[in-house]
Amino acid sequence: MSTRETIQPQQRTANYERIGLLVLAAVLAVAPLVLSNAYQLNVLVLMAVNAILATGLAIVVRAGRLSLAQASFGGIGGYTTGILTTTLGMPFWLALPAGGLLAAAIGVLLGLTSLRLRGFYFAIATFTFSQLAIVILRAWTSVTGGMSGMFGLPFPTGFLGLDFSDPRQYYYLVLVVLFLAVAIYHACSRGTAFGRGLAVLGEDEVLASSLGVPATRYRLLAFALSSGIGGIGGSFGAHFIQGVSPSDIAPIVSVFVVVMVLAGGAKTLVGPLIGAIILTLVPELLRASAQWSMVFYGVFLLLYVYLFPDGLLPLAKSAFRRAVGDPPSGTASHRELALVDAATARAEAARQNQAEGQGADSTPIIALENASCAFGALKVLHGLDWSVRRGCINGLIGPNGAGKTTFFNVLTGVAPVTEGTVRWHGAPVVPVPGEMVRRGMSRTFQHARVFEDQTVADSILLAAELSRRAVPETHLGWALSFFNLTDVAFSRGRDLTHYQRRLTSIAMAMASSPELLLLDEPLAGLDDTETRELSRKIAGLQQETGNTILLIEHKLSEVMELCDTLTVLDHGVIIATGTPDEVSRNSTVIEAYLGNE
Amino acid sequence: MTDYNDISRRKFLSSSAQVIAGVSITAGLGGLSFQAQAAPADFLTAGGKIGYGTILPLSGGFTVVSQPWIHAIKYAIDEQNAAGGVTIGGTSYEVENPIGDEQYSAQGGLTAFRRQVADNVHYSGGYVSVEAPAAVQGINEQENHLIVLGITGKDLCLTDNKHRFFEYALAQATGPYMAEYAYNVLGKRKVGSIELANTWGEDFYFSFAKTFEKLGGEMVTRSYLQPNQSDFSAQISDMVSKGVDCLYIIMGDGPASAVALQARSGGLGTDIPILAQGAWGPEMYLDGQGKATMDGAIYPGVVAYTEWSDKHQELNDKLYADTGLYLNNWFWHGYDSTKIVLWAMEEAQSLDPAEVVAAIPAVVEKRASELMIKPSGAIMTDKKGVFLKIPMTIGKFNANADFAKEQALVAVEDEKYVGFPGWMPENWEGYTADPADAAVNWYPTMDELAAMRG
Amino acid sequence: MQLFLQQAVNGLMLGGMFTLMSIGLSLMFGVMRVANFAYGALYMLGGYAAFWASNLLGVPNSIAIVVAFAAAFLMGVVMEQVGFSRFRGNEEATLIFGLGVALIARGGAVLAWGSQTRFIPVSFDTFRFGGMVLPASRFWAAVASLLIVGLVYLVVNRTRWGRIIRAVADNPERAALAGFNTKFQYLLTAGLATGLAGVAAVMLVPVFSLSPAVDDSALYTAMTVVILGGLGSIPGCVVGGFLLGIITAFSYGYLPSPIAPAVPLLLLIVTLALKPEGLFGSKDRVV
Repeated sequence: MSTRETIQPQQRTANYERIGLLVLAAVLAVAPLVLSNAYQLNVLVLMAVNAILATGLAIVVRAGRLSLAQASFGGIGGYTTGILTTTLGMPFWLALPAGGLLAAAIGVLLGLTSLRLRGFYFAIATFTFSQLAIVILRAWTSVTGGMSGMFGLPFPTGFLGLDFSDPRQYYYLVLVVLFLAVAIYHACSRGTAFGRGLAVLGEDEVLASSLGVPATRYRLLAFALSSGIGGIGGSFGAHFIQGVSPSDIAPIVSVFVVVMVLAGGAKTLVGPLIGAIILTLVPELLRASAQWSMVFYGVFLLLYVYLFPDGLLPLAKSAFRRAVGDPPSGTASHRELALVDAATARAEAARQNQAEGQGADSTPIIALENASCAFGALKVLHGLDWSVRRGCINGLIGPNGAGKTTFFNVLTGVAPVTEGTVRWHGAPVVPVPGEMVRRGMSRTFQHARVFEDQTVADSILLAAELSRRAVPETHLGWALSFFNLTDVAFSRGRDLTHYQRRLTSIAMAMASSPELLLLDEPLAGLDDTETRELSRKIAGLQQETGNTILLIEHKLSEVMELCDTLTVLDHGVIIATGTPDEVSRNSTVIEAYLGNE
Repeated sequence: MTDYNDISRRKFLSSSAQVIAGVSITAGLGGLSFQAQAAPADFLTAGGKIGYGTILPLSGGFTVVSQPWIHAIKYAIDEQNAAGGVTIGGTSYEVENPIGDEQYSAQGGLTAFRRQVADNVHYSGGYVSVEAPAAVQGINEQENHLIVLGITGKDLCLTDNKHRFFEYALAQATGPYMAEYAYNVLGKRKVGSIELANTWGEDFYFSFAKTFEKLGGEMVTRSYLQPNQSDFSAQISDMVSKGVDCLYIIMGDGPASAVALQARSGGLGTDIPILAQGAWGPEMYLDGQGKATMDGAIYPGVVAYTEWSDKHQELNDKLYADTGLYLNNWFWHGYDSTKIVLWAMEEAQSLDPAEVVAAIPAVVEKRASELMIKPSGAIMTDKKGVFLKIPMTIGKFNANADFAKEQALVAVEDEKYVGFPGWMPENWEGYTADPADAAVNWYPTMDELAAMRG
Repeated sequence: MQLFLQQAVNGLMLGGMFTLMSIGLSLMFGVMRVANFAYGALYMLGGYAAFWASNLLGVPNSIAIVVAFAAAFLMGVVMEQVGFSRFRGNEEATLIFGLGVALIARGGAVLAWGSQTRFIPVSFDTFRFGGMVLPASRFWAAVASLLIVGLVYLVVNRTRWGRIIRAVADNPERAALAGFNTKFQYLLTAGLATGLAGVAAVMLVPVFSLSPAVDDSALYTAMTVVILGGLGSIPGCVVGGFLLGIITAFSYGYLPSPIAPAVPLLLLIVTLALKPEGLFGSKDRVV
């Protein structure tokens, strides 16, 4: 494979961004030399501590949950190291990991509720948790000092000649921790496959799961990291103030951490840090008129929702882009995309599928044995026996409410198999959404789901990466040319037309080089030209890659033309199977459709 | 050669002599300056003034308390400046009063404190003391900064830190008088209490309970205020069912008035007296219902809180014009204590807090008559700072008073409870012991107190 | 036993009042899927409207209710017009917008009226029978609360306008196609919901007292009640209110008071974890 073409999106902005990060790092490093009196250093340290809390929180915000408990995790860290160092006399550096781990462990517990709750519900659950933490800390007076809190916490022990009772050295210590927190946040956003998976999980949980993101594991890990970082940050805060009390973790403090993240820009690497800088410094400037501070905070929140809802950093970035003349619609991709030329890629894709095809025996890729699906008392599928025909296009049709989508959901593990067996290459399996992709089965959805905030190129790369079955760049080159998406490769999902969304969603599903591709009403909502074009593409897709396709479709004329074999479902029962010709002559089928319409 | 040697020897001797002389003079001067007090200039702000800061919460729910306090400190400083400032070594210095927001949190308090330190402010008053981390941890001592503050509960205020001036009465000293008054004068036997869940509240509970129980009374229920608690009906019903005949509210301001209101309407009628601690003042009786609820509440205040003079009138008018509030106990926290510290600077002829704090007992002795709170001196401890000997008076709130012209608090008739000592005797072991030491008798009863006083 | 019954009665009265405190929040969520984080602040402002009406103008409670309702209604309409309608579907923005308004209201209240506690005259009379004490103020507040909640229930379920807003709540697109002005209905509902917060304040402030800080406790209480009962369900709100009232009374009555506040919080967390739709909410309303 040779690289023929390189796309370097918005190189200038990307370069300036790097320069911006370096300048920020330099400013943070030089700050204590300029702001050098004890008070200014005090504010700098608190700012860095807030930045750690905010950066940690950004991980779960990124994963799609708004937590109002980050200050509580800081408190858990601070109280833990406080108790360990003072009451038990443990060295700070031994106590610190304990504080972080305890915060992380409690974070995982709270994260468990996030599996069921989102939006307001989750925010309220975390809010309640933060109040509960205060009640416990206040009630447990013998250990925590109750409402008065704990005082006299030691500074971290110095090493290598460092003395952390000096606020400047303390600042640099916290700055190092902040740097590590930002590095972890980077790993949790763009830096690793885990991070990229987490980011799309936050955008669209269903789609991300269908592409192979293990939602539960990722989300809990995100909570562990987020609250662990919060705990560590809180520890450094408490040992700097040399005290910790329930008033330091009041719900309003957590709200301010959320505001730091959102106002700075939750989806940028250093947005939370910028937010922390602004929201720590501004109150200090306002100290003279402290009576007004609550009103100012309120006004700031309103300014945020009205004027810079994406955060200040993205606002500054887009202003900068305009200034340097880069196109305003930005791309999330900072990778240089080395596109493999289409012919090479196509050959590669076909080769891969043939290799899989040759290795397989005659058992069907997937089959149902007496499979039923019920939701409580409502039985949707009744003891189905069915298998997919390899190497051709299988159609699944039936009137509304026949159970077609449930059929898909059973195959992909979204709906439960309450009776009977699903067999994958002959072996019984319990399908789980993320895992089926890795086995070689992917799907699209009835509504053309794409990641609204990701570019087409990034979405396809990510899908390939998540499946762990394809070389992302190889697939991207092929997919962009096959689906005619090259022109919109760097457009975000939200800017696409319906047809482009449909194509992108199929390209993403194809990214795992699936043996079996499930398409849920791929032609729905397309006009006649688009319908014809996509039909041809689906046929071409099968021919070119040799994979197996199963599709649900209502446009019967297209189905008759496109499919090699059809299964007809009605009231959760298979009423006919055969070639389109056979099926169209089947009296039961005719009755089902006529009786229904 | 000899020439050279001669010259060089002569040169050597003379230059040696010069060096020795130079060194001696320098050393002598240095020694002199070392022996003399540190120059006042070291303790002045950038504007060449003496910095006397105020650190109190400026925002949120505590401002009713902090506003009179802030203004009390300001008025005391204004009066001193009007009288020519603080004179040291023949030079007069003006006093400035930077104000820091404590935000009612440890972090906010410490940040405000460090800001004042950075501005070379070496004195500050105020602090909602339960959260005063700089004082508890002795950070001010390291910075050579004198903190003037109220009483915070033994665990926080009896830690080691010499740079503290306690300008208010100890709970340990007033609690027994309140208990005795409730038992002997009011004839009450069953007390139900509700307190702030901190070391301040605990001190007021135990210093009362020890004496009350010794006398034969019973502490029937003890409960705490919880965060965001707005309903107290369950606690009140518990008290009613246990036959409580006296309600002890160990908290001030909003929560206290909510408890009082719900107690009154929940079965503890106006025939059941309220004993009060904390921030209670005319602002609680402005509304008709506040009057009806809390009129007659029994409260230990400073002497100045039960008197009325032309000076009271002047201060009250000024405070009302500035804040819309009337003189309350919190005003008296700030007013005289600020003057004492400013006078102590003149007494010590120094601006060095280490020396000023040492001069406080002497200045209080000399100028007590000029002070509104009529202190009886001050107790200098070895490690824990100076405690003002402040007389206290048990009074009853007259909610129907005209607060513009008279006090809200009226001294009770029994002389024993008017101007009683609000300080612990010098020989109390609490002044030297570690507050965590359980072997110390932290809450002596009235009898034990009397024995100590001899 | 005596004390047990007393605490049960305390809990029931508290439950009635908690229900009234929460009904507006529940209504707003039910119809508009908006969690109004400024709800507590509106309750607080309603309380001040009532306070000034009663203390400055000396008008009776019935007029104070009208004043507070009108003031809070207007604030609700304005918030819907400039805020909630604009952020519909964006929960983050809705939440932050509510918090922003709440902070401004609370900070402004401290600046304008001071942070001291205010009272609206209330009777200290008590009904006593069998050794039990029923504060008259609480008893009537609880009764009035239930009457008001009952009235709201009737309006929503038995009137033409109720049918319209239920249709809008059920499916705004279909309601719009059917010719209803959904925007207007939303404004009306927002006004009614916050207006009810004002009414609640008039009824409850005399019992609990008033200060700028009551916004927090009102918001926590209302949030807890509507989540326990199920967001958007009026019967759920009643059940949630009584549940919280009784649990509060018994935990404060029988547990050491430092632990007592943990009980309602634990109940809320367990409910969220196991049955987030609440006792009466429908599953699809869990957003």
